[in-house]
This record gives sequence, structure tokens and C-alpha cells, in this order.
Amino acid sequence: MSPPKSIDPVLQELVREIAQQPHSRLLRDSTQHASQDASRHAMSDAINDAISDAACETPRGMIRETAPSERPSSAESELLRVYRTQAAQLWCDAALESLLKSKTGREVLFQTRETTPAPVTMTRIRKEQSLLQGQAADIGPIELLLGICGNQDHGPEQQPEKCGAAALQLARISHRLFPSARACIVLADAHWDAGDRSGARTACVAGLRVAARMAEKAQLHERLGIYARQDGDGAGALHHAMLASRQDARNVGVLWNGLRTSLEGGNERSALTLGGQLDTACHLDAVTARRLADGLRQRRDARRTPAAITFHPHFGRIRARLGSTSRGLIDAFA
Amino acid sequence: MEAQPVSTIARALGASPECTPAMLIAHLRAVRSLELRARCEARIRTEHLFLSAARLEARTLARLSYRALVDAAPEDISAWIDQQIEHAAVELITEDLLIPETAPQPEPALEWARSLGIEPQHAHLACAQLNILPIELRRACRRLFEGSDTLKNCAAEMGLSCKDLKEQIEEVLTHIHRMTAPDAGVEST
Repeated sequence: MSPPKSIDPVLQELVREIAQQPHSRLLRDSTQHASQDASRHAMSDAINDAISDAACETPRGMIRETAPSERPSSAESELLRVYRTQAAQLWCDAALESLLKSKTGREVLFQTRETTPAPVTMTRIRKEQSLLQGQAADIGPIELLLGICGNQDHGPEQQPEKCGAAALQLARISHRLFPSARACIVLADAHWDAGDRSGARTACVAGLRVAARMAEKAQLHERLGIYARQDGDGAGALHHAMLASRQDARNVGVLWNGLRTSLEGGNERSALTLGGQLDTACHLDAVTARRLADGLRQRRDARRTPAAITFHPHFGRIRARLGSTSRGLIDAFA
Repeated sequence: MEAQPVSTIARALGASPECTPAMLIAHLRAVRSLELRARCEARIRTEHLFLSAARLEARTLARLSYRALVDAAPEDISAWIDQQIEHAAVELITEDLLIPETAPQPEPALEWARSLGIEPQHAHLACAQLNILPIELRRACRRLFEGSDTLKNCAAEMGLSCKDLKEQIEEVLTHIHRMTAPDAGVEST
């Protein structure tokens, strides 16, 4: 197969060399390099070099597996954890895909670009499952995944309720395998779809404990703000909306939600701050902005009544002070 | 129309797509041009993470070996590798928070743990907490703990007053001391 089109020169050379002369010179280099640096990484390199030296070609030009008696390198030890996190990722992608076909997924566009999954097809499941061989018993019921995704492959028309229930089940397994912030976000949305706001809130709080990325923290706070608004807690909603916008000032959805919350509470100062951020974010990500505007227009048409934000006495005055993009989105929604 | 076969990165790197991740580790370890250690060190430096470079490298290598057999060959392999390093770092940070007892002691933490009054055996707990701080605050913490910068400079860089930054750092330290106190239980999720 031909090498990738545009990679940096070192890697280009690497790909060419390996393709022409599978690994022999490179393995020698690695051993020499390790012996030169023995004083620095004595223990780990000694183990790893033993494995590197042991790796050799089979008659067909493949690398054979290291002998069972050899001690595993640190990377090989890490592989078990990688199996687990990758399996969790696969389940999480399947959960998100189901969720997008559920009532919540169809009516409310919670998901942002960062969480859009790679499609979970039967081919993908089988491919990853072949890599997880021997780990399946520990990792979880792959049959469930195959069953759910197999059914989904058969037709575009799914019952939203069934998809929501499947999303909850898959997200729970993903969370059990490796409780990432992403899994918590999907789990929260699946709980929300099932009408369990308390479960959704618990999932968000758990997600905030493990979230290492600002974008994920923003999405979790965004959801907590939405739940607070549903509970009639305007101050709590605004608090989480502001925290979300501070964590990720580029997420159009997060900023829109904050602006809407500010307008509902008649909070002019935060509305102007968030409006300014939203204008910039929409300018940088015009595609998402357009998608959001279309979604807001659809919701307005389906509602057939003015939005709650318009009833606030200061709405007109605050609206007039906002930038044109924010004002456009408000008009599309209100 | 028939679907095109998926070209994997493993194939682009000269390995068989039929080999296992464990087999691929030995292959990728030999590829010095990947410069994994240097890339991991750079990531730790630019993100001001409290992680061991060796541990990040090992996790990245394992992750690369798995993903190379699954992902289609990207246009830019270098960017793809950096993306895998980022994912590996996030996984390690999450694991350290969830199962701190399994986290090894990161070398840099031991140096400043003593000066903060934290027992060396609790240094990894402190690192786990520091790694989820916003990057600006993490950078300030790192510089101040290592004694490589002043409070005034760090505050100016963050656009804060010295008092505000001091308060934020004190809050972080209080939290860490609470987490590492002898009678503190590990929070469960």
C-alpha cells in the first residue's frame, strides 16, 4: 500500500524505510541506543530491549509474538488498561449513537462536535473485538453490543424509546468499564431521556470529578445548569451556565444556553458578556452556528408560542444591546 | 458501490494488520524516528502536567499499538501520534483520580512534596488533583512549588492580583492536604 500523502519528513522516511526493509536496521539502532543510555533508564530499558531483541520476523515478514517466559515491558503491562479504555470507548460510541436516535437526540441537540462518535458498525465492532480477544469475559457482554447495533443496522426507522433504553444500558456498561467524563456525559443524557433527572445529575457530578478537559467540564456544567433551570432554580442555572462558559468559550451550544439562561433571569451583565463570547464563537464556527440557528427555528415553529425569555420586562432592552449574531439567534428562538 | 478496504496505520508502518497490539509494541518500540519520549516530555512541559514521562510513554506506546490496527491511515501521522499522546495523558489522569493507589510516584512530585509538607507516599494524590486544575493555575502551581518563579510574575501572567492568586493556590493546597490527611478516605465516584 502507498504511504500516507502528507506526513512530516522524518515519518515519511520512516514509512519508506520500514516498507522496504522491515525493521532489521531499526531494531539494531534501538538496541545500540539503549546501551548508550543504560545509566539513565537502566531497568525499564533492559526489560524493553530484551523484548525488542526477541522480536523478529516470521518467514512471511511478520513480527512474531514474544515468548511467554519473557517479562512484559511497561508498555505491554499498560496494554491491559488500554484494552479496557478502548472497550469503554466502543460502548460509549454505541451509546451515543443510540442516544442520537432517541427522543432526546432527535429533539434536543445536546451533543457538540467533540463528542460526535465514529459510527459503530458491525464491521467496527468485529474489528475491535478481534483485538480484544481473550479480554472479552472481563470486558463485558459484547453480545449486547452486537445485538443492539445489529438491530440498528437493519433500518433507519427506530423506536425512539427503545433507542433511549439501549443508550442507557450501553452507557452504563461503558461507565463500568472506564468511567471517563465522556461516558458520564452520555450517561447523563441517557438518564435525562429516561426522565430520570436525579440520575442525570449524579452522572454529571461524577463526570466533574474525573473530567480533565475543559471542554468536558463545560458540557457537564451546561447540563447541570439545564437541570437547575428545569427545577426552577434560576440562580443555580446561571451559576452553572457561567462556569460552563468560563471552561469553554468556544462551544456555541454552551454559550447559547448561558445567554438564554441570563435572559430568562433578566441578568443584563451576564447576558452581554455571554452574548459577546457567542458572537466570537459563531464567527469562528459558522457551521455549528448555522446548525444551531436552524434547530432553534424548528423549536420555535413546533412551540407556536413565544419563548419564556420574551416575557421578562428587560428583554427588549437587553436584546437591543447584544451583537447582531446573538440577536439573530434570539430572534430565531423567541 | 463497493466499500473501499480500510487502510490501517499498522500497514502504513510496514507491519501486518493481522498482528496483535502486543506484537506491534515491539515493532513500534524499535522505531526511533517516532520520538515518543521526546513528544511525551514536550506534552508534559507544555501542559504543565504532573505526570511521569516514562509512564506516559508506555501508555502511549500501548495505545498506539491498539489504535494503529483500528484507525484508518490519517493524512498526518505526526498529528495522529500527538492526539494519541493527549488521549493517553487524559486516561492516566482519570485513572489516578479514580484508583490513586495504583498510580506510581511521579518523579517531579517527590521533589516538591516535602516542601509542601506532604508525605512522599501521598505525592501521587496531590498530582492527581493538580492535573485537573485549569492550565494557567497548574502552570503557576508548578513554577511556585519548584521555586522557579515568583508569585508576582505568575499573578501578572494570569491577569490576577497577588492576593487572588494566593487565595486560589491556598484553596488548592487545603484541598490537597485534606485529601492526603492520614484519616482521609478516597472519594468514590
